[in-house]
Amino acid sequence: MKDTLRALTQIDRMIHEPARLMIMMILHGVGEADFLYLQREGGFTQGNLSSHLAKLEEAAYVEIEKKYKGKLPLTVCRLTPKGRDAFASYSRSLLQTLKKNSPY
Amino acid sequence: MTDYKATQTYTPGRRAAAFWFSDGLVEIVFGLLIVSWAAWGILAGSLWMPRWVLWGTWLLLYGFFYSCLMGYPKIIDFLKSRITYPRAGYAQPPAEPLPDQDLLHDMFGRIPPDPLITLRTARSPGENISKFRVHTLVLIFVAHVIGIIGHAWPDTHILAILMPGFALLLFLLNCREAHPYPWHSVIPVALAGLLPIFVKFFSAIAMVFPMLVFGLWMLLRGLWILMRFLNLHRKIRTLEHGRA
Repeated sequence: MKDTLRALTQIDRMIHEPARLMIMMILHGVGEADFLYLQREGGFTQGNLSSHLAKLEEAAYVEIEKKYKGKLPLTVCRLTPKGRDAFASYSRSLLQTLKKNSPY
Repeated sequence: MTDYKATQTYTPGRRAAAFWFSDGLVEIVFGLLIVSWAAWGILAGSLWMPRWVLWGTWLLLYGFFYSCLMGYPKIIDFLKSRITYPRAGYAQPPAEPLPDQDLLHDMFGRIPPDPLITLRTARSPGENISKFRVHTLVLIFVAHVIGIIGHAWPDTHILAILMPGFALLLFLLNCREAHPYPWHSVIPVALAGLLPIFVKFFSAIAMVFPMLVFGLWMLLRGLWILMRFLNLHRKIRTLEHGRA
């Protein structure tokens, strides 16, 4: 039990933050999404979302691209392969730990 | 009363797929297409024209509709970029298929593509509605074909059985999908099947009756959803909400 609990100290703290976790979860379920969609789905403020996306981009988990849909400019975000692997690993690790240690 | 509509919109991927239908544009485009097809059927059945003219115009129309079916992602994307994305944002469901593929989807996916209704299970980015095509459009097409066959035996009132049956199928096949139809929304389609019992339709209308009903239903439903969407998302962003 000590080992499985200690595994929590190795958890990816870049993802293990509520707002960033929400962003990763939303992006994991879509091919790509724009800033406005992320903001509405996660209930973020503009500044909050920008700040977290910047951190995720710095960690190379998310890539951000400015493009056009017709004449509409969009800031489109998507998970990188590294981001997908990191999220999968984080999910597995957390679920495993919770499974072994949760009373429910 | 419990509304047995789908409640599977809780995963982000499923929500993104449901989001694709939240503006009603898909139904408006396909509703218009189906109604146009039915309208042409009525016109062709009502007017006398030389056989070569009739077949020629059918071929042209066939080509036009096929182009629309092939080009609809671009048409819908064009409309969404002007109506949906500025108001509610943009999300694209992932390219891989949703995990709960059912037997019907697999069966139709294996049939060689028909030029009229494309049965290919395209899952390219931006497609998003492959199950809509299989579970809704193909169903409408099958109803239309059976309606034409049943037209040969008008006294059997086959539409009185067909339409409620297809309405029920429409509800059941889609109730677990990203785009479910509430049970009450398919009732008009079911009831429309009873009309031919009481009203003698002109032969040209009787032949395309199922397609006309489904097309009108889809178009009106799409317009209703669009109205609700515009009411919910009134503000259009004028500045690009980018990174700080």
